[in-house]
Amino acid sequence: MDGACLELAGKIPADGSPLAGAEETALVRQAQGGDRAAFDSLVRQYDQGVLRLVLRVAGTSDEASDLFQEVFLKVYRSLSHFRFESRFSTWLYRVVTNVCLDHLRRKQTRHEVQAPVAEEGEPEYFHTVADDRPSFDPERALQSREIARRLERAMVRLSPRERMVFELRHYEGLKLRVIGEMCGTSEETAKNCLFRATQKLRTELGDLI
Amino acid sequence: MTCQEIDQSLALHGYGELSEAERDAVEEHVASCERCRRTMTELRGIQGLLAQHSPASPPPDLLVRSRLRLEEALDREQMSWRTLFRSWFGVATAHPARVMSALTLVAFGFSVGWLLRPRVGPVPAAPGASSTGAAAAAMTGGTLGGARISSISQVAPDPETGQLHITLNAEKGMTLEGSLDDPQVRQVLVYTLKSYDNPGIRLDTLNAIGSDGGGDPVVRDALLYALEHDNNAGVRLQALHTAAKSKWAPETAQALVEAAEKDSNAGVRGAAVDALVQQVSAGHDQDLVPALERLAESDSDRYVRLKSQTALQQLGQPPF
Repeated sequence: MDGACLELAGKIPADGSPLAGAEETALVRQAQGGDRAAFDSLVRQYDQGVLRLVLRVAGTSDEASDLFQEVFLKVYRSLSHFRFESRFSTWLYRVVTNVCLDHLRRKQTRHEVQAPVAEEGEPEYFHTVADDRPSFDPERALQSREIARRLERAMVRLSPRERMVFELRHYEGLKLRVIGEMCGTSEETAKNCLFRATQKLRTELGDLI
Repeated sequence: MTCQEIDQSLALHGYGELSEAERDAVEEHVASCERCRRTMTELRGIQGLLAQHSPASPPPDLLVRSRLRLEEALDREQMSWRTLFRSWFGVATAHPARVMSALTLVAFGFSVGWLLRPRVGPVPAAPGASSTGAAAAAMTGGTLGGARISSISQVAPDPETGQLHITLNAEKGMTLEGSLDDPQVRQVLVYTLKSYDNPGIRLDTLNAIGSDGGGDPVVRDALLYALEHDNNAGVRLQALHTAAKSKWAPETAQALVEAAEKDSNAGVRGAAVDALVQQVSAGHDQDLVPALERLAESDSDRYVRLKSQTALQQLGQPPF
C-alpha cells in the first residue's frame, strides 16, 4: 500500500468503523465475482461519507441523490477493472471526485453560476446549519442565514477543480497529495487550487471577519 | 522571502501542508511583517467562519431514500444485457479454452438438433375429419385460433377411427376488466403479488389495490405476504404503506412488527416504525409499544433506533 493510501485509510468512511484491509479486500473480490451482498456491504461502508460530499457539492437533496446513485452504479459497473493497485477507498473516491467534477462542469456550462435553488419546502443545504445554541435568538438566526447565503455564493464562484480540492481538503481533511491523485493531477496543482480557492473566499467573505 | 511569495504559503500553513523548514520561514516572516500578519489573521478568521457554519449532516431520510433508489437501480442493472454480457466476457477472458470448448459443444448440439428436426408442415387431415381440418386451416405460424402454441406433448392416430389426437398447450393474451369486488380480478392480483416475477408489475399491482383493497381478507393476506417475503425492498415498502393505510386487523399489526424488527432494509424498518406509531396513536393497539422499545434499544441501524426513541417520546412513553 502506498503512502498516499495510508493517509486516506480510515478517514473517508468517518461514519462507520472502517473495515480491516484484508476484510475489505475479500469483500471486493467477492463483489467482483458477482456477489451482490458483498457489494452492498461495501456500499454501506462508504455511503454516508459519499452522500455528505455529494450533498455539499450538489446543494439540493434531489441532485445529491442522483449523484449518489451515479457514483455507486459507476463503481458497480467498473469494479471488475479494479486491480488492487491502490486502496479501494482511494479508487472509490476517485470515482466520486470525477462524478462531482462532471456535475460542477455541467452546471458551469449551463451558466448555473448562481446558488442552487431548492424545491419549494425543501431547505437549502447551506441553510441547514445545526442550531445547537441553548436559546434561539431571531436576530442571530437572521445573521446566520445571511452568512450561509454569502458562503454559498462564495462556493459557486470557485472553479470545479478549486471547489473539489477545497471540499476534500477543508471538509474531508485529506492531504493535498492524495487529493492530487484523486483529481488526476499533481500535488503542486492541488496546492495552487487550494491557494486560489482561499484567495477567492477571502475576497468574498473578508468583510464578515 | 517576499510578501508575494509568502501568500501561497500562508494558505497552506493554515492547513498544515508545509514542511517544518517552510513553516519556520513563514512564521519568521510573519513575525516581522504587519501585512502578512493581517493576511494570516484574516485566513484564520475565514477558517473559523467556515467551521461555525459547516453544513449539517445529510438528513437521515435522504440517506434512506438514496439507498432505496440505489438498490432498485442495482436490481435493474443486474438484469441488464450489458451486465450479463460483461460477466460472460469476463469469463471468456479469464478462461478462453473452456469457453471455446463450451461453444464447440453448443454448436455441435445445435447442428445435430437441426439435422434431426421434425419436418413441420400442415397435418394432412384424415378423410371425413372435418372439424380437425377446420382447426388446421385456422392455424398459422405456430398460433391456433389466436392462441400461441407453447408445447405439443402427443400426436397419435386413433387405430379405430383413424382420427388424429393431438395434445397441446396454447396461450392466449387477454384483458381482464373489473373492480376489486370481481373474484377473477382478485385472483389475478393475488397471483401477481405472490408469484409473478416482475417487480415493476408487482409494484403496479400494489398501487392498483390501494388502501381499499386491504379490507378484503384474501387481498390483505397477499399484501402481508408481499410485505414479508417479496425480495424487492421497493415492493415491500409499497406493500407496507398499502397495508398500513388499509382497514385495521391484528395480522396487519403483527406483520408491521415483523417488518420493523426483521426486514433486511433499514428504510423499510424505519417506515414500519412510522406505521406502528400511527397505529398506536390511533388507539389501535397499545401492545405495539414493547416492539418499539425493542427497536429503540437494539436495532442495528442508528436511524431506526433514533426514530423509535422519538416515537416513544411522542407516545408519552418513559425512556427505558
